[in-house]
Amino acid sequence: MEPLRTKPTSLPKRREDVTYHIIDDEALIYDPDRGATHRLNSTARFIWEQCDGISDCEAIAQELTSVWNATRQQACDDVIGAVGSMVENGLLKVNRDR
Amino acid sequence: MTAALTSQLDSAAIQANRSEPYARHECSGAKAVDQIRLRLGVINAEIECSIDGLADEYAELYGGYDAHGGDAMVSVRVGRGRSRYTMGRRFVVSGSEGRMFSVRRIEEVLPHVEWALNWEVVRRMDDFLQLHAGVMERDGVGVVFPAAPGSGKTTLCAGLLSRGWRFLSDEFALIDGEGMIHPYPKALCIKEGSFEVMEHLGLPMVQPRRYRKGKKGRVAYVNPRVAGDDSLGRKCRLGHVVFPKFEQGATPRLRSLTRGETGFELAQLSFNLRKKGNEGMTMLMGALQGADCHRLESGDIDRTCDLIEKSLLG
Repeated sequence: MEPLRTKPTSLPKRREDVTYHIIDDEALIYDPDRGATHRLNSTARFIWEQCDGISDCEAIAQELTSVWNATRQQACDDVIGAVGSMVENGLLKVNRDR
Repeated sequence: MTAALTSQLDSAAIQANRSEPYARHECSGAKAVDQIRLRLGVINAEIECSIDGLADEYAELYGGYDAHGGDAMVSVRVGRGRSRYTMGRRFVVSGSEGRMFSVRRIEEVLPHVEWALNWEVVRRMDDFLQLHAGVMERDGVGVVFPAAPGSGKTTLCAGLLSRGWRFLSDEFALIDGEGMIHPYPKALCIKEGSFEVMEHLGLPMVQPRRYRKGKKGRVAYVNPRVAGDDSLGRKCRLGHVVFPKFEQGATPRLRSLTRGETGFELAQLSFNLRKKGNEGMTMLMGALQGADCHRLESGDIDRTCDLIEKSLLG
């Protein structure tokens, strides 16, 4: 099945079987299945932490604007870009839209 | 504001006299077997060899080291054999999983035994998270120099050794579950391009221009004990991580890295993170807590060591 394209209404959910380490304002994720390490900067870390499978990308972008000085459109583009990248790297699942 | 995700996939015996490092066993009708038992920091190593002269070379290479009194953690055997392909005469180096190297010339033997010991550490010492790094210590604080081969970490370790720093390893940072670094002070393997630097540093090499090691070509060895009786480091905490990169003629420069960047790069330079999985990542993060992290562009050895001492020791 082809993965869904990330949209503002997508509901991204974190994988639970990876290890997540906060280090200063960044984070490292280790994926034991792929033997891969990923580094998240502070913004990507914030986005990852919001990916609970309940909040859609638009809601995460809204949260982002309350923390960072960004327009809603910038935040939405950023969330969709970061979520897409995390999905590509197997860290998130987006299996349905709201 | 830019969200950025940086991702990278891993592409990538016989009993001897326990008090003597070097023992010879004569058996009627058989070639004498030398048994070399060395305490290399936290690693008890054993080499069993039936090649004349190798034990004497090891006695020179590791003069001043103690014998270990317990069981060997890593062991390597070396003797004569045949090439699997041409059936020509070879010196064969074997480890716990059988044949590791077969080499044609006697001057290739010792470097390949040294290399085989390192492979055995990678294979067998999984209590530790293993990083490809040089490690030096000063005043109880460990400085780790992680880098791929050819980045100048051995030369850098030699430079600091000549200034009274204590040597833990030029190849392995062995990190335990408490975030402490353990010593594995093998002799420093010096490539021909750095022979002059060793002479400049006043570190005598064992049989320079004798040994050959695969693609590295001619190599020599430095016994770290030549720098003094107190030149071998002990278990220490990680104070600094410095990624070195040698550039001929460069002005030495240090720049800060975040611990996130550092942890990510260290993960790529681990020999056994994939084997240790989540536990290994937790060990790495534990060790990094409280460490200062830098990238070093190194050049002239004296100026590079001056910069390190000024910046890291204050």
